[in-house]
Amino acid sequence: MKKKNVTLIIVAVLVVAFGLYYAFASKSALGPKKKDVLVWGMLTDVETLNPILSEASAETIMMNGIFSTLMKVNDKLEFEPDLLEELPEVSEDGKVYTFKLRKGVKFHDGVELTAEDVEFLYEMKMAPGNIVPSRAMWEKIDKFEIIDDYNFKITLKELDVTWLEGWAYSECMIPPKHILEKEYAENGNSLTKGGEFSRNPIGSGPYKFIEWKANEYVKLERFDDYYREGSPKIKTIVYKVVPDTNSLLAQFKSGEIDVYDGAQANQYKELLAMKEAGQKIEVHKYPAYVYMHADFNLRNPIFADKRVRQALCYAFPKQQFIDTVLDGIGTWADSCVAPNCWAFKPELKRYDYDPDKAAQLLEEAGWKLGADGVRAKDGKKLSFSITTNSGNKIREKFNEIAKQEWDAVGCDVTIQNYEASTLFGDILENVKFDIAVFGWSAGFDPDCKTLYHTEQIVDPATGATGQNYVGYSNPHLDQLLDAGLKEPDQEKRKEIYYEIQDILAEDVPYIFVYYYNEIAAVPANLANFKPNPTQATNTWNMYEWEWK
Amino acid sequence: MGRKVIKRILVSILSLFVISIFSFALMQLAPGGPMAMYAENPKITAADKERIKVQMGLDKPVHIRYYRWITHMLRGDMGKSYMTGRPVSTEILTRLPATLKLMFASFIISVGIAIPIGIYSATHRYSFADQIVTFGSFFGISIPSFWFGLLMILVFSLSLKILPAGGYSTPWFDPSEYPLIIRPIAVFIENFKYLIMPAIVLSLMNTASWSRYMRSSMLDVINQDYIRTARAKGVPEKQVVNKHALRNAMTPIITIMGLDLPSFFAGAVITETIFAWPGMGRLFITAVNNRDYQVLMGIVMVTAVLVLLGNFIADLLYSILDPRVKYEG
Repeated sequence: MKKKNVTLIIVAVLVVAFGLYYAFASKSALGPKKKDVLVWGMLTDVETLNPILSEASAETIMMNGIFSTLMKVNDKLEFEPDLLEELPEVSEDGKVYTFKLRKGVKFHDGVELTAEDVEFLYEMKMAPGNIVPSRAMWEKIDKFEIIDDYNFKITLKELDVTWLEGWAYSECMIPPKHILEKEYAENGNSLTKGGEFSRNPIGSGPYKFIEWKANEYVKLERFDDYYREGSPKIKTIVYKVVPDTNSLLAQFKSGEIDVYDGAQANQYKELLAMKEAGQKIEVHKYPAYVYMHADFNLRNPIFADKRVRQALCYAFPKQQFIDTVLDGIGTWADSCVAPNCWAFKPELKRYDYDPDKAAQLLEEAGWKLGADGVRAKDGKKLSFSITTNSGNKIREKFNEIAKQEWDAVGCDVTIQNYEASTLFGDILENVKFDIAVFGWSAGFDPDCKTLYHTEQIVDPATGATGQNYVGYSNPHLDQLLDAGLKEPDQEKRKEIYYEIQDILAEDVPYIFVYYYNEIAAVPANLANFKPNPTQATNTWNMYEWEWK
Repeated sequence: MGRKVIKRILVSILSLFVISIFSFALMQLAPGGPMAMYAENPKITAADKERIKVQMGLDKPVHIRYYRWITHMLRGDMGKSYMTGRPVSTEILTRLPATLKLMFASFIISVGIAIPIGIYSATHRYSFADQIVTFGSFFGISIPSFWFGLLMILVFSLSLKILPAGGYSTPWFDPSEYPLIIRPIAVFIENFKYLIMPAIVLSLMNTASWSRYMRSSMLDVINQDYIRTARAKGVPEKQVVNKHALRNAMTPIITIMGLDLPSFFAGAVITETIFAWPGMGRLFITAVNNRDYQVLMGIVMVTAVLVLLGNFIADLLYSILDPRVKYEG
């Protein structure tokens, strides 16, 4: 009897407590949210908020609030000045850039941002003690000259027309010299991700950093002295880490997160259904700069023959793959230049599904069908393996379809998938693959020298490293790739990249499969959300966001 | 007994040393490395990768890296994470409150449900209720926790809208918005509402299996001579079960709980992932995926200490619960 009473009391207390709580909980995680908070769902936590050391796009998404860059790439893929008065002036020979900073831009601690802060960024990128992810754009600088507080000049060692783009991205966000130089000196001339600034950043962006709870959330609050008058409008931004895409969707449905950026292709229909059911949301779908590709190891004698590579292209049902596996959430690819890039060539050699043509090409190449249904040449069977990182369902599916279709035209394909860090850390680096399937993020600029130039060929025997894992070498293409970086005239550049795309589509060192489509779901009453497929990410213009 | 304890501690230290060598070696044997994080970014050139390798000390041979790690470890320094650059001890400590909270809550739920249920089905063997409990236990053991977790979210967050679908705290929660009298309640529920679903999901498996153990252990005891004697003396049935039988039936259960406890520590990966709980399991899985050797070694060593400690405590409790068992180091 007594026991029952105790249970009853506990239940009653809980019911009353919850009742009281929800009665007052208008601002809780479940009640209608305050108009001045926006919660952005993140799949991963970040490692650092120091732009000198940052590499991940998740970090860019957050740092777009905290920091400013000299210029931006907008949603129409044009450059526009941010901290600059106007876009930089370029000299006749294309090697000298003159920058003019806006006056009166303040860091969150009230100190003014000047040319010295920009020069400090350059020094920090080159300092030997800092683990900077990429120094490529900084190593091209010959001289950095400060003219006065607001004007400075940068001279490049040699002409490189792609160089300017970097200034629009997170690697060029400007941190305050007066704060960071102390940390640099106290830490034995080095900055680390574990340092104070990494976890407590100060910038000149629209939002001030408030707190970062590991694996939980990062919180920012409006900076009232932001240089663009009257913005930002929304008071608090919370980046909530939810490490699972199913849970992200659930939290988007329950309203615990407002923006679900990077929704999965298989969630697109469900999001559309939500909208049709009357929920006030907007679903954006747009092509990204990331493409999936299947790389041939050209060191393997089977793939050294172009006809075999072309045959495998013809034997893969690319359009069907996009329609069924991707549910149509993907854009057909024939080259490494994105369809929304100015240098994209629309009419390229297309490899539409044609198994007969594939068989014919294999015959021509000397691969004759054997009694067991497998082709052979000089006593060697047409057998090879195909690999990708296991767990990536779309890539795994690609391999399954490829095996089925290629076996049907007389190949003997083995699927051998590896865990991501094995694939990228070992199989690719040590060239232990026949065909490897993964993704590259292409730039907003069509340059692709690091992938196809002879200088970039990976060779474990000599220790040569690079990103030309396939071992593709074509002297004419090398010349074009080099010329593309030196041609300031965009029309002439376009011709160069048209030719490059023709060569790649003909030679097929990769099977170019498809361009990813990004999906972002936002509340219908969030104004000025403008998706941006470049590295600038979808928070590039968060100073403009506003609740309607 | 004191000497036995000291001997046991010395053996434990030796085991820890051996564990550290083996796990360090195994991690190095696994292909890939911390550099794989830069793999899909074409902007990072080969020269960049070489430079970063040297800066992170990854160009040194394994035995030198191990020597460096163990000498730092002996001074109480677990090294720094390759990913975040923070000390490993900080990474672990910041995850500890969330982990302990979840561990504790799900432990209480498991014990609170498994033991009464186990006793009931043992004393009512083959009754209808026992069959139901048996079915329920196997159901609980078999269903995958990610499925159960998503189902809970579907019911309680999306349909009933009474619990948050995930998270650990509300970033804009401000107790001062509540009237003074109910402020403590608000703070309590603010914490409780995020905890309740993950704790239930995490406890499911243990509740189910521990109730099976409890049932069989109780059945063993109930057929012993001394229980029959107690009953023959006319001791009321309730007292026979709760006093004479239960205490004896508990000993094997305590051992099992002691052995299960370390698995709570970093083993709640799926639950933590689905409910966005910032605990040790997620730290562990991120470290595995990124080959963050330092963090991995840190978690492995802490878990190893907990396993040894769990066994040790279980053994001690054993000798307290059952005086016939002498503590033998």
